[in-house]
Amino acid sequence: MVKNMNAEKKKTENVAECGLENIRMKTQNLSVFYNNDQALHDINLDIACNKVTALIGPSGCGKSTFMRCLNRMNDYVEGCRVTGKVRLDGFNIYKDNVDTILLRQKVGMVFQKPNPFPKSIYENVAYGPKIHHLIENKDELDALVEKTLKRVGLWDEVADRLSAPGTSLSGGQQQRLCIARAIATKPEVVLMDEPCSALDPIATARIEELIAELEQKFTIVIITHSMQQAERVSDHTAFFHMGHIIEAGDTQKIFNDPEHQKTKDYIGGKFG
Amino acid sequence: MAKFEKLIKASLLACTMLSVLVTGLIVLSVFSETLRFFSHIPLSDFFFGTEWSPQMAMRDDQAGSSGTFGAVPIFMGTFLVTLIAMAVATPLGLYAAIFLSVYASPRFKAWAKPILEILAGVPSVVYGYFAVITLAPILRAGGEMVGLSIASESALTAGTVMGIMITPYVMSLSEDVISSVPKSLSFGSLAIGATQSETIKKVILPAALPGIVSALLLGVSRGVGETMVVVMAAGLAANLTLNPLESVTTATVQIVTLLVGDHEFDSDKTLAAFALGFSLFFMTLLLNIAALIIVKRYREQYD
Amino acid sequence: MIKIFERRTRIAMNRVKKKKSPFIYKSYSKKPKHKWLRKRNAQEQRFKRTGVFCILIAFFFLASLVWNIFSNGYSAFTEAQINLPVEFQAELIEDDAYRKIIQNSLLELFPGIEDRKEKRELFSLISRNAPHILEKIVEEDPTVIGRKSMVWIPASSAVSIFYKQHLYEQAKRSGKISTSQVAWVTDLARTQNMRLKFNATFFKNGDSREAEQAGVLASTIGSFMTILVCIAMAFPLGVATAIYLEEFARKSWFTDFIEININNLAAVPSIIFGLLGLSIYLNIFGLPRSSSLVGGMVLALLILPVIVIATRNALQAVPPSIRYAAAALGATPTQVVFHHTLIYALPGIMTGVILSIARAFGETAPLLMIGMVAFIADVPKTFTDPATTLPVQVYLWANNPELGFVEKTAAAIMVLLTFMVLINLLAIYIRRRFEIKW
Repeated sequence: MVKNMNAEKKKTENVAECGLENIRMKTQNLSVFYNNDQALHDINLDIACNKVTALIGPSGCGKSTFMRCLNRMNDYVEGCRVTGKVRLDGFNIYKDNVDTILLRQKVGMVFQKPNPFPKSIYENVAYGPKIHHLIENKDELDALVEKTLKRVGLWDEVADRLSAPGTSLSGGQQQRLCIARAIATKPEVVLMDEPCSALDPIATARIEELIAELEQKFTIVIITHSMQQAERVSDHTAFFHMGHIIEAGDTQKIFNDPEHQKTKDYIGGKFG
Repeated sequence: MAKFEKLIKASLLACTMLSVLVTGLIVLSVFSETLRFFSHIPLSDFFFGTEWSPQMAMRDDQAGSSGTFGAVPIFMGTFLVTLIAMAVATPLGLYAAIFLSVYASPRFKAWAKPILEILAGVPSVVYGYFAVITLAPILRAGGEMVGLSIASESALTAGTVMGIMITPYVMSLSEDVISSVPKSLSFGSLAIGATQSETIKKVILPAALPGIVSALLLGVSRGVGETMVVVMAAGLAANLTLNPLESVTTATVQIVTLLVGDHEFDSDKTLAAFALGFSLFFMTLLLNIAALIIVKRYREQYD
Repeated sequence: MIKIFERRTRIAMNRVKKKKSPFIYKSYSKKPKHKWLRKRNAQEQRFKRTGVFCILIAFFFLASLVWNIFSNGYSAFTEAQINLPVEFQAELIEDDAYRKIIQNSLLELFPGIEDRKEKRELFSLISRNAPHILEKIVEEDPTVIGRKSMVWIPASSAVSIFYKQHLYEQAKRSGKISTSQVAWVTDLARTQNMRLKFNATFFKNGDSREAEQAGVLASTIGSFMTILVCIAMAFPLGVATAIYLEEFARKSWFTDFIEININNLAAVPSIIFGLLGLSIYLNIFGLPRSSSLVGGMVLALLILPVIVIATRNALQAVPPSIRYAAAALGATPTQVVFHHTLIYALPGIMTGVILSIARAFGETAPLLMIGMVAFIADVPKTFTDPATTLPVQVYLWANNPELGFVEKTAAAIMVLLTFMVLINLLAIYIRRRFEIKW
């Protein structure tokens, strides 16, 4: 599979047609059905490499569904059916022979509510690298955990209590721990489903800073209900409404000069 | 009006007190008979004696009417049968619970769980019949094939059938526990690429462990107190053995044999049944309290 | 060969060495990732298959239990009958010598039997109840006296089982049926003088020493009377307790104590309740031994905690806002409970109560303690009459070594399980039909 992926990667390195220089993920005519209700209609969206893409839109518009398609977490939703293609580095992840384990190592996810495992802080971060056999010995693991925790800015706060349970941290710390857990497996893409909705403004600011730093290394897709946040952290924005993408493109353009009336209304707070 | 309210409240309280009285009555009645028993037979003889033959005390004027009341073989037999039962019920019940709560589609679960719970609702006397008529001959024939002689009332037969009986109970309880582990936890693990089984073993089971332990404790408590299966499938003779192929007896079997039929109520023989009953009550009480405490802690963790 | 062996040992030794290494993670090699992946996927498949396997085993147990009971028991619902040429001789009827009439007609059917032993075998083809059947015929229609007519008479249990074939080998081995009997039965079957009929006796009689005469009527009636007593005692007590605890009691150490108490009571082995019944009801109150009254009272104690817990759960499911709404209209606390909460919780309460009744219905052990194991041939008329219940009847028959009782036991279990299924269906119906979703 790894070999396959590399092969396809070479094939599709021609990205000129997409209008963006470097595309990491790409959906083609993606439709999602829950039993007989269609939740997404023919979504075509490109996600640029090492950029932050924000998904905005009113509740129930399909943002979360779309995000769960990107690492196939929809597989766990009963009655969910996906048609169309989602390409990661040009490779369709909805092919039958795709290994979802490897896929999710490459496409990590952070959830709306912090959900650290009821284990120690150390174990929370170490869990992913261990199951994926990314490290060879304890020293390497220690180093990786330290590096990851430093990257999310949690190291200074927890260095002296790595064996304390992850659930003992504050909400913002927990969420950063969950981000650390996601990036410890060395993913290419990190999906964040409203990562700040359960946090206070200070913790939110911390996470936003973190996103800006992570942007250097990872491709990030973030769902947010806060227009300000989308404007602050993202490079590209896609506006979802009723299962359709109304408008997608450069964040500055969408916020300053939207093409569609609906986008304008939503950003202006007329509905949502 | 206020009078009427008070009346209703008082009568409700009276009913509550009456319900609570039941426990008091159990303790009082069983305990007082037990005390009477121990006024005849020393405690150490009962709890450490290895010979049990109450049959001697047929009539008071008979020679050697006291009988011997060493309960060790009985407790050992109870332990052995329960152990076999749990050896059957733990893996079966646990794996079935894991499969139902994690792998099975909701539709499958919706009809499979009630069907398996039917097994839990079948009266134990039916299991006893099943043990005697079906399992005992099968086990004996199977034993003969590999050159083992299995007693027709072996601990293995009784334990296996009891295990089958407890399995749905353990399954149902641990399924509830596993399902109550927040979905976000397993999603967190799945989203970084863990397989389902890794998620179960490293995230769900550790989180659900207290609940599962208490489910198993409740299973043990049921096994210890189960009567009909062992009365029909286990033996009467009190052998001190840990060999599952031999016939053993349990506390409940002895209570039934000592008390069924017309006996003089004051004889040591009938009082011995109460002593056994009290030990049984005490044992299951400890198991239940332990299970309750564990579950309570576990709930607090997630509330 | 030796070389291979050596290499293997070396590999094995290496493995052991690796395990002992201070670095727990040393055993992770730097193999390409997808090799690990394959291993992990294989592990996943193994795990899942084990789960499927365990579920299948559980289903297998259920299926074999059901099949076992059905295959042993279905034959008990039919009985073999023999067509006898009966001559109702007036003088014999006057002497009440119906047995003689039967014997005469059997001898007429198979003439030339002189040997005493053979004669006895011949007479035991027919149920021992046959004289009573003739007596009844004469009572109903005295005109038959002096005439001769063909009458279908039930065969004895051993013959019946042999005729139904399914226990043929066992019947022969256990010596319940002799070679000459086999010959007679084969002869009768060939001349179509034997038939299988629905066994109404099974539903019309109480227990009997004769397998072909034994029935479940007495024990079924006994079961229902016991359950009636049980409901009458446990239902009001349990529901009242739950209402008090859930709606009126302020939380204190006392209510905590009651709660722990009731939770523990629910898990006390049922036989302990039997001991309680024996020492309190029988020895202190002096209530009649073996009666359905005492049986019901013992079972009531057994299901009381179950009812309390189920009722509390049902009451808890009613949202507090309903109570506030009622109270805001000026309803007193009791009015809130009896006009609203209790009414809305009733379907849930009923479901719980019915399920606990199912449990009481199948309970055996505590009833053994209070002497309900006696041999009861007559249907109990009052609550103080000696009675037995269906599960106890099953236990009694299962202990009976006689061959004819094997199928009776299974059949009695079928009747018992039918009642259990009906009770459970009722509970499901009530839940589906009346439950209020909040």
